[in-house]
Amino acid sequence: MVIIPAVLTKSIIFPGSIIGGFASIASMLVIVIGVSLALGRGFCSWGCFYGGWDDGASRIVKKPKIKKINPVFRWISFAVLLLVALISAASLNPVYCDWLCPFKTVTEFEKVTSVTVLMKTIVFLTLFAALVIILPVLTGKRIQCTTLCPMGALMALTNKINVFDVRIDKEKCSSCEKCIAACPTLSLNKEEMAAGKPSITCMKCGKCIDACSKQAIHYHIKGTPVDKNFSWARNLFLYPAFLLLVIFLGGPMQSGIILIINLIKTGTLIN
Amino acid sequence: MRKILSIPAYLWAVACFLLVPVTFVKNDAFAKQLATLSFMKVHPVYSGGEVNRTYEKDSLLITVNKTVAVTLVGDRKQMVQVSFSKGKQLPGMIDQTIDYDLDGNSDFRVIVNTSNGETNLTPIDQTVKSLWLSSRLKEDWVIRVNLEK
Repeated sequence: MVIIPAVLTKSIIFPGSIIGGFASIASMLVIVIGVSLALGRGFCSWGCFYGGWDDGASRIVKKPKIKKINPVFRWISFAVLLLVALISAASLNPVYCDWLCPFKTVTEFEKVTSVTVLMKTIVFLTLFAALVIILPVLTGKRIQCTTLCPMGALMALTNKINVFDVRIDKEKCSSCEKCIAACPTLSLNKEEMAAGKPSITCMKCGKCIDACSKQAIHYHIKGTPVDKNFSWARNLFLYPAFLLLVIFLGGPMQSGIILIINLIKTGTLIN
Repeated sequence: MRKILSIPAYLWAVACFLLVPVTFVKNDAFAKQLATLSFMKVHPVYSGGEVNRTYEKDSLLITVNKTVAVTLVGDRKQMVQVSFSKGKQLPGMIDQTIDYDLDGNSDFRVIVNTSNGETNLTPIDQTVKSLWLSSRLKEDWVIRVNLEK
């Protein structure tokens, strides 16, 4: 949402301050660059608190009702990214935040004071219910992350500058396809298994690694041999991933604990 | 050769462990550096545009900016930013008529209650449509008015 308008107008367009204030553009860009370099799209599975909603819902039912989903749906988020960026540039407004973000349902919920706000609220609630709750429960997949989130699509593109990826050892692979079933983002199919790596939409969550009984799938460091030092690659990826999790979510968790303590001590959530 | 190539890859991977805390701990410093890069320019929709005229009236310093197109395509929809300041303390009430296009005729009247932010805009010229924003900005009070040409 920042890059294409920035290229077209040679200036930053976003309803936030460049520095300081809530979610300043410069701070966000620094985080996107830093996290892209460190984890790439691994951010979506190890740091994104919105993705956590989707992930939580996708784990509720052990045996999903809908098992076959066309992997072509994984490219929709890239179309959303392109459309949102172009419309944002044309209207000089953050279209996604204004009209599409399902997580407005759980953050920054606006008081309904006009027909426009009512329409937006209906869109937010519908998308949240459908893509974050109902479809993830029915499919066991992270549907919002896979089919809508433009940030995820952007991270998939910036993932190119990251050193970690996931590889499949074709010699060990028995083609049981448990990894395809386990992948929450439709990033694996038969072609990708044959190619030895998932598509660029892979979030490096590690579910396919856990699902593989032949230990044919593993984290890998680009530029190193594919068939050696699996534990090195795994540890070197997982340590910064957990570190990101702790740093990014430590603050909100601390606030949550303080709220719970307040609730126990005073009977109210308000300080 | 493969071993030699592996060394920078492993070093980069190890550096990622440091990169995560550095990104967050040094975020403010990096953000300030990023924002001051010579090619970083804020779009006038968010900066408010260039200053057109500054004058004093009723002991208020009034700054009227140049109009800014609020869409990328076409310039029919525009906005103008006007700011009011009076040293370190703003008056409780601002009541001014503004000539944003410097044609010698007042274009709108604005009344702002600075204690609660209540703002009333009365269009005089037909290009003036509505109030977009009315807010305190450090020691100034800033309003933005939607225009349609």
